[in-house]
Amino acid sequence: MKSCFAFGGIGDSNNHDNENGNNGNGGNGGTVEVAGSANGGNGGNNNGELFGQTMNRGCGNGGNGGKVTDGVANGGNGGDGNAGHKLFLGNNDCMF
Amino acid sequence: MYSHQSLILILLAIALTVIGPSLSVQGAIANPTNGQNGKDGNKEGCKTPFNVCLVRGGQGEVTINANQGNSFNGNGGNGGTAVCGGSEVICTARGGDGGSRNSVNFDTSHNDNGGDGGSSTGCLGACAANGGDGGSNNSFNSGNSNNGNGGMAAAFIA
Repeated sequence: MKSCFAFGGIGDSNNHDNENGNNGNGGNGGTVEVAGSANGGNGGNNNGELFGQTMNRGCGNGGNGGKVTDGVANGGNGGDGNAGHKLFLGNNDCMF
Repeated sequence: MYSHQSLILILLAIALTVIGPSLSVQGAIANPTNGQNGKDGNKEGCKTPFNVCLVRGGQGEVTINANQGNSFNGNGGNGGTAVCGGSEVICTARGGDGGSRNSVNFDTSHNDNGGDGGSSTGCLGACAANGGDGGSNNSFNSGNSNNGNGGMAAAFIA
């Protein structure tokens, strides 16, 4: 039986202190037009402000599930430690 | 006379030794050249003795720093196209993974993001079109930046 999969890529970790940064987010699931699944990738860990200097647009979010004709489409999981990852006071880390 | 020329040459050598590295750093900052990104995969109608067809984008490069302007650094290539003839049991088109440690880029930069999955068509069994994984440790980029994000899975069409 044919079964197909489309996984979004995994966001990686420790991307920090990037101005207006989108950091470590999982990719979105794609489109599967037969039986199978389309899953979003997981977000990465510890993508925040290490030194609290900049504002991120988003970080460590799981990707969205895709579109599947016959099967499941799951969103990815968010990563850990993406909001409290800083050593000093600064701007809030991520806008979810 | 020769001693004067030798003294001048020695002073010049010392000056270049001291100033040279700073000049090279300035040149790197001003250099608009983007980092090496992975190449897209592209293999159509592939067949192997094991009935497996794998197409994958290249991996992004590691450690490309100090680019100006709109720069794309160390991003994985896209998965490309895997068009199977119907006999392949496994057929995948996967985006390449992002590199790592692309930092201190100015203006808008896109660093170490995974490539998007490609298109996988016509296979007999398990097929996949997966995005590549993002890279890590991309830091201190100014301006708008996209860093270490996973690639999007692309379409699989029956």
